[in-house]
Amino acid sequence: MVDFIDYEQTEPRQRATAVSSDDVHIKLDDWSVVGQSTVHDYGEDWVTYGRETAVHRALNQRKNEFTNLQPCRVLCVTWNVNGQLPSEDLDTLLSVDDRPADVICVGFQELDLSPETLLLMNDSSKELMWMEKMKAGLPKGVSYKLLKHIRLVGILLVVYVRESMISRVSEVYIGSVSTGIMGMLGNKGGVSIKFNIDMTTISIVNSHLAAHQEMVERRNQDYRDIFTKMRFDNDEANTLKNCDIVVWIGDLNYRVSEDEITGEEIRALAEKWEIGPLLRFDQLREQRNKHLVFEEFVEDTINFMPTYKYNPGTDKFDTSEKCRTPAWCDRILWKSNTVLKCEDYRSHPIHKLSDHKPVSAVLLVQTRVVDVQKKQLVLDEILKDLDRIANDSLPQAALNRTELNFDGVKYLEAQEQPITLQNTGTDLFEFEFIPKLEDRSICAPWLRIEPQKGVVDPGNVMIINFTVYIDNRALKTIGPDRKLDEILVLHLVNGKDYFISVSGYLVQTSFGRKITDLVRIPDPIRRQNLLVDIEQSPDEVKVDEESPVALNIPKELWRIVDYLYQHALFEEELFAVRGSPMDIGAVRDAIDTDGPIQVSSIHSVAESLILFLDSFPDPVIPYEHYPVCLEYCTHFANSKRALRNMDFSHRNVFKYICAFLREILSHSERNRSNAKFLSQVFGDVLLKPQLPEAGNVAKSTSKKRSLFVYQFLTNDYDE
Amino acid sequence: MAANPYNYSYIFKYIIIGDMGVGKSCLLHQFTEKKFMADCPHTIGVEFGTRIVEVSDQKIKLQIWDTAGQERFRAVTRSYYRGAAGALMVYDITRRSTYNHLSSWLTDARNLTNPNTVIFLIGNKSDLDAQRDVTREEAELFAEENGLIFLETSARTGENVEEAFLETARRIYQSIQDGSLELNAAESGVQHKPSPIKVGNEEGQPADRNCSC
Repeated sequence: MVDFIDYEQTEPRQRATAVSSDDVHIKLDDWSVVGQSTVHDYGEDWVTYGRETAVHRALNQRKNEFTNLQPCRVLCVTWNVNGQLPSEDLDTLLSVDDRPADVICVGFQELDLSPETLLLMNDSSKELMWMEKMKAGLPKGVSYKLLKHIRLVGILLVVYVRESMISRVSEVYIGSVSTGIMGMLGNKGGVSIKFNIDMTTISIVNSHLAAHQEMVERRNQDYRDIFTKMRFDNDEANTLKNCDIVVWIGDLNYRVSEDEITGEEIRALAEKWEIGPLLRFDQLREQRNKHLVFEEFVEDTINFMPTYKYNPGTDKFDTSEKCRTPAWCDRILWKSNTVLKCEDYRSHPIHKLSDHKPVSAVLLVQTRVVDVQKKQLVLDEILKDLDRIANDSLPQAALNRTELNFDGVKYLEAQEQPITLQNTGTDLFEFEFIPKLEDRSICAPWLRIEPQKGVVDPGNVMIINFTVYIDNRALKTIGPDRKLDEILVLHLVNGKDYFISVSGYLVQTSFGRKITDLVRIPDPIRRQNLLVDIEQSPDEVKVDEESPVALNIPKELWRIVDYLYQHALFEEELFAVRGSPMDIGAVRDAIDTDGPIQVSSIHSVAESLILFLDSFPDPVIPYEHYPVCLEYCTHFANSKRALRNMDFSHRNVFKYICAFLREILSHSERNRSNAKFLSQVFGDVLLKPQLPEAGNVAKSTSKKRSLFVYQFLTNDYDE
Repeated sequence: MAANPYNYSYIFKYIIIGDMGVGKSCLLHQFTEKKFMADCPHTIGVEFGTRIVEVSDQKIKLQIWDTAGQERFRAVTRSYYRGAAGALMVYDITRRSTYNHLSSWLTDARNLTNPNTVIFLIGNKSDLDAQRDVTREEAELFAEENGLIFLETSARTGENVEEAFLETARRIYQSIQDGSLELNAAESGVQHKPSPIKVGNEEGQPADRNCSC
C-alpha cells in the first residue's frame, strides 16, 4: 500500500531545512564568486573575508575523501495527453520494470485544453484527476512522497521521491518560463523542479515547444528561452546552469523533416517499422548535429516507433483529414557533470487515450553522499592547516645579532655597527623601529639608525646601520657613569617585534664636565693608556667637593686658549672657519691626556674652544644668572655687579675668555677681527637659556647675549 | 546554515608572561603548531601567533603575544600588556625562583591590564616531575589567594596546554556574555566580528600598537 503524505503542505523554507541531512551544505559551482573581497591593508584579509572561500575550496578539492557515490534510479515520463481525462491506469507507465524507481518525474503536456485554463490559469479539475491517477499508479510495496508539482496551463510536472530517501533531498525549488503567444500565455513553455539529492543538484524540465513541421527555429528558440530564463525561487543566481544534472523531457515537437522525403514516404516507412531510415530525417537530431539546440545534452538511442500522431484509442497513425506525418515529438534528454547512465528509453503504445504515446526513460544517477564523520575530520584538518598557514604567512625574519656593544666611544667621534635583517619568509615584509611605551623617539639622542623603516623582499637582506655619535646635545643625556644603554624595538609590520640592545660607554673626557669639577682636577682627566683597562674600571676621576679649588680655570681651557694665544693671534677669520673632525679629536685627546696639541689647522683648535665652552652642563654664565645678565646687557656697571655674584670659577672662565678675546681684538689691524662678530659668537656660547626659547624670543635674546659680551670686549675688566 | 560557518566572530588578545626559560614560547608553539620546540632560543622581543578556536559554538581568533622574559627587557615588554583580554602567567615547576617572581609579574599584569583581564597561572614543565621544586598544592593556594585560574602544563607532552588556552577563552567569553567586558573597547582586548574593519588600535594588530600611545 502506498503511504501517501502530501509533502507539499509544509512551507518551502521549512521543507528545505527538514530534508537537509547535511547542514554544512556545499554548492559546487559558485565558490569562485564567494569571497572576492577587496584587498585590505592587512595581509590577513583572507583570514577575515576569504577564510570562508578557502575552506570551501579546500573542501571541494578534497570532497572525494569524505563523500561516497550512491546510485539513484530516476524514472522520467513525458506524455502529451491531448486534454483527455485519465481513463487508463498508469501502473505500467510508472513501473517500467520490477525495480521501483527512487525518484519518479512525470511531465504532461496539453493536460487541459479548456479556454479558461489557458486564459485564467485557474485550477484545473483535470490536474486533480491526473494527480489521483498517478498516485494510484505508483509502484506498489514502496512508499513515495510527492516532492513538488508545478503546472503552467497544460504543462504539468510532478516529482515523487521514495519516502526512505526523503532525508537525502534538500533545496527544492520550482520555476517556469512561458514561450507561447507574446511570450506570456502559458500554452507553450516549460516548467522545472530543482532539488538536491545528497550533494548533487538535479533539475527536471518539462516543456512543450512550438508545433508544426516548419517551426524548427521557433522550437530552438523556445528551448534557449527556457534554458536561459528559468529562475528558481525568484533568485537571479539560481539557474539551470549551476545544476549538476538537467533532465529535459516533454513534447519538443520536432518532426521528421519533409525536406528530402515526402509525408507519404515517411508514413510508409513508419508503418513498416523502418525506424533507422526515418531517424535520419529527425529534426531534433539534425539540429543537435548542427549544435543549434540542446548543446551538451545527451539522448539515448531511439528504438521505438514515432510517438505521434495516432488515432486516439488505436495504434494507427493519423488517418484524419490533416493526416499528420508521424514523428518523435516526445523526447527525454539530459546533461550531467556526474556519472549518469540511461537504462531504458522507450515509448508506451499500450496507452491509447491520446494522439501521442507516452515516453519514459530510466536514468541511473550517481549522487554524491557526505560521510559526516569523515567530513568533520577533513574539515578539522583544513582549519588547522589554515591556522598554520596564517602563522607561516606572518613575517619571518632573521637578525644576525640583537646586541651591539660599542667600546670606548669618544666625544664627537662616530662609531658605526651594522645589523643585517634577512627576510626568511615567503612574502615581503615591512619593518620599522618603533618607540617604546611613553617614549616619543625611537632611540636615545646619542644613537642614529639608518634606515629606520623599510621593506625587505623574500630572501633579501637589509643592512641597518647603528651609529653612536656623542655631541654636546647627546652628552647632556648621558649619566655620570657614562654608560650607554638602550633597547630598540624593531617591529615587523603584522608580525613580531625584536628587541635590539645597544650598549657601550663614553670614554672619559673633559667635555661636558662641570666647570666647578674641572677646576678641582689638577691631573689629566684620562691617562693616555687608559683605553685598555677602561672597561673594567671606568676611569672615574674623583672630585673631592670639599677640597679647596686647585685651579683658577680648568687647565684644559687654559691649554686651548694658550695654544691659540701662541699660534692664532694674527689669524684671520678666527672662529669663522670650521676645523676638521680629526683635528678636533686630536685636541680632545691632547687636553684630556695632557698631551701635545698637534693639528693641521688652527681653526680646529678655535672650534674646539667653542665646543668646549658649549659643553658645560651649566654654562659659563650659569643659568640662574642668565636673566639678570640679559637685563643688564647695556649697563656695564650692573653687568659687572652681576658677574661678581657668580661662582668664582665661572666668573674666572668668563674673565679669562674675555681677556683673550680683547687680546685678539688688539691685533685687529692684522687679524681683521671685530668685537661685534666675536660677541655674537661667544654670546650664544657663554650665555644660554635653561629652557629652549621660541624663535622670535631667541632672536631678541641672542642680541642681548652678544651685547652683554660686547661690553666686556670693549671695556677693560679686571677686579 | 550560518553565513560564515568557518569564520571567527571574535578576536581575543592574549599575552604570555613570566621569567626567562619557563617555556612561554614553547607553550605558544605547542598550542599553535601542536609540536614541541626543543632547543627553543630565548625570545629577544615579542613573538606573535594566532589560532582560531571554538568556544560555546563561537569561533574565536586568539591573537597571542609571547614576550621576552629577560629582566632587562621588562620595561619594554610592559608596553605589550595593554589591551590584553587574557594573560598567561607562567613559571617553571622545577625552578623555585621563577615561582618566587610571580608576585612581581602579577603586579604588572594587574596594573597594566584592565580589571576584567583573565589571568591564568601556569606551572609549566609538569613532565619533569622528578625535578619538581614547587608543589602543586602551594601553587594552587597562591592561585586561590590571588583569584587566578591554575593548571600545570607540559609544553613538551602537550598536557593541559590546549585546556589552559581554551579555558582562558571560555572565561573571557563568559565575561562578554554577562556584560562585564565591553566589546570593542580599546582596553578590553576583545573585538567582535563581523564589524567594519577598524584601522585603529582596536584591531589589536601589531602594526597599530602605538597609535594611541
